[in-house]
Amino acid sequence: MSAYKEKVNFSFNDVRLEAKEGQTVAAALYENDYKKLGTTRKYQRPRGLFCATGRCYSCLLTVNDQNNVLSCMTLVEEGMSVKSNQS
Amino acid sequence: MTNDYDIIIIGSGVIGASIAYYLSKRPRQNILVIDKGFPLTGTSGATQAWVFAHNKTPGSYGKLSMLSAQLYPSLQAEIGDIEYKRTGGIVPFFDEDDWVKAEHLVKEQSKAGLDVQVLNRTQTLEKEPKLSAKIKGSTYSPIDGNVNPFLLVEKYVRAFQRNDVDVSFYNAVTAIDHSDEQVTVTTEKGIFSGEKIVFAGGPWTEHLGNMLDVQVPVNLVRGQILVTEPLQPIITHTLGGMRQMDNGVVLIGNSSEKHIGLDRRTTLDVIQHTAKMGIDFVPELKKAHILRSFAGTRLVPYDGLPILGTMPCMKNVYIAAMHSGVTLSPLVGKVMSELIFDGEASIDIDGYDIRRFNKIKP
Amino acid sequence: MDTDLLIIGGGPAGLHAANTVGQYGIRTVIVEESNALGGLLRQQVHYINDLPREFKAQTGQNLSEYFIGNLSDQCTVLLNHIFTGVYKDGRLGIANQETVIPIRAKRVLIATGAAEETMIFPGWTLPGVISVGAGQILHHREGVLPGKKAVILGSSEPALSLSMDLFDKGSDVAIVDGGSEISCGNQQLLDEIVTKNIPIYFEAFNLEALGTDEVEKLVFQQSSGNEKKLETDVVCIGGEYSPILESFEILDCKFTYAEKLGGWLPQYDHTLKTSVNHVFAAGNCAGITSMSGILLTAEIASLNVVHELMNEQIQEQVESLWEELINIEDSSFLPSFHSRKDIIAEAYT
Repeated sequence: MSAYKEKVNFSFNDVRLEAKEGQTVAAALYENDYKKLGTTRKYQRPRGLFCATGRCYSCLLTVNDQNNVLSCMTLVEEGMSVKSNQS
Repeated sequence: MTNDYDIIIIGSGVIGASIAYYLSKRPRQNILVIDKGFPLTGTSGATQAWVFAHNKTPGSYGKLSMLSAQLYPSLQAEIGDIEYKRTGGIVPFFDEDDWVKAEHLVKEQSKAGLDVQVLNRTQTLEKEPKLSAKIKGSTYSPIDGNVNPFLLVEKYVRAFQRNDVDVSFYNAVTAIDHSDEQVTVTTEKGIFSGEKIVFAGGPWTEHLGNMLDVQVPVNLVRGQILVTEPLQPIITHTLGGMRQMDNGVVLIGNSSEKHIGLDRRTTLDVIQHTAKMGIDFVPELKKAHILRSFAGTRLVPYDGLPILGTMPCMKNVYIAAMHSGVTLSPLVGKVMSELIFDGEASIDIDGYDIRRFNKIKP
Repeated sequence: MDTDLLIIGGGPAGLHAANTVGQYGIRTVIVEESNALGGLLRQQVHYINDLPREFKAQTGQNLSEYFIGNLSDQCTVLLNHIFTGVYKDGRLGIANQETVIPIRAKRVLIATGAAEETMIFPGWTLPGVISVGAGQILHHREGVLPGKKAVILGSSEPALSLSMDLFDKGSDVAIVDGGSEISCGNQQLLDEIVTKNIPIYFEAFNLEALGTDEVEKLVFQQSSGNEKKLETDVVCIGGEYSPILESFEILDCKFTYAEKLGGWLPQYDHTLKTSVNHVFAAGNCAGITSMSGILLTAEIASLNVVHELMNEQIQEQVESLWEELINIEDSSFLPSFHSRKDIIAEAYT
């Protein structure tokens, strides 16, 4: 298991959370017990991390106001604002 | 499946399918639709699907497009939801010099009964607030709109199949023999004969013409289109260059490349140019992700106008070849079915006869 | 930007290829879509048993560090970039979120690897239902325990390996498999599973994942007729792998179908050149194989690039690499090597 040093603060749907530096957004949320990341557009079904390699597009989130960001491919950063997808 | 038909239609795109549909409403016709692929694998599945009249060549062609747009609501009532929306069409311009051209267009189109207006920047932005403030003005018509091309062709196909039209898909035509009584169509899957046949092959119509030694006077152009991620409603009109689908994706494209043939790949040069055009029109699109791009091969008759009627020296071989198949599909389906079944169309289409081109071999 | 060799994918195949051509002073650019090099090696904490002769046994993470440490200064690495399209003049467009860099490359090596397939059953899209690969990434790369009550679907080597790791971290683990026997060939791993009494349910069918906002239960039928209901907080799907092909499509390479190698894959000849003259393939995207298969195909392809660009004699080296690949794939991956031979034969017809 990789050694993580620094703590990073970020928020998910306006809740303040902590992550480890070098973690992806999706992993940081998973560790904070947020498995459900958002819902599908049409039927509002819950979705979360699935493949963790940027291929399945199940983990899309709004990051710093940018919609449809692959949270499994994006490293968490200090002060990052993460929200369930707005589009 | 019998091999003898009253009418054989080659091509199941938006034109072949609409002709088949309108013909299938007539009594006692044995109709076959042949396609080298499957509906929507060709040009009809690679389009933004505008139903657009106001920027067509003024006069008869503009009017033809308008009449077709007017048929869409009743077509939708007949075949089911095809997401047809009369959004109104806006063609913005960025150059002061374009005022003159715009006013000329309005004048010419009004002669044919088309409601087109010139809007200044303020009026345009009132209708479409997310358009760039850099535009100088636009031409606008309430008749324009768009449709979902996938639903449109699928519903046509379902409707004509309910009316007992036979189909033979994934079956390329390899040869055609013509006599005044009968046309024999040789395909990869067998030989079919029909009293009448209809060329509705889109970009492949020239190829079909060659089988009867007739040069069909068309060029091919490639159009590349960008597909954004689903977005919140951002534009409500059909713009000359983009539209938003019901599911939120915005389709962007106004490229037209000549001398490409049937190559349907996209190139980064055109894709980047198209993306820049999209942002020039609607600056907010800068933040949108592009999901994919695709290209379609479109045919353009030498003079830009549709080719509708019979082939030269052949009373029983019909042709329907045009650039804007989606816009024209209901009208072309209707008038071609009249021409084929009744021997006469309800509107004057003589100006669209292929014989207007002088390069045709007799 | 100009380069001799553009490598698409910075996993084991891409890295090994970069190092191989780097020894000959060839300029390379590695395009990697994620934020780090290493690919699947990044979450590979176990010793890899089947490395080629030239490597000593080591963990994937070690191997990745070794590869990265050996990259020459002739190698440019573009992280967070993807190959997105081709310009009319033949340059390749390499994009990040901001811009597209046109790169003119004498040769292209595609080493995009493989993607996991899923299993489709009601509830498979619920949060908490993830792929086995995602479970490994969470656990070994991100330092996150995927779940305390894990259900692993399938009995492939990665699935069993993850089962062991989660068990060792104190999680309850159950393995559910649709078949009637273990599909993993690693006897040592199997013995450990048995020793640790990790339950395995064979011949399971009618799977369904239940839960409101995330997975809470996995329900399935057994051949005995019993319905089984497992409480769970994570279900890991161990699916098959298939080659990642978009880059070949963009470059207009011809494809062929070989079920034993993962389905559709690019056509290539004995130099691992595709149907497009300047494009080569290596690693899992040229057919699903073992780690040694990944590395050996990378070396074969890159030596052939060296031969074409520098006119170096590499014949003997390549022959001995093929021999090693045959020996490995012939013993443990017999059907896949026959498939590989068929593909190469097809390239010459």
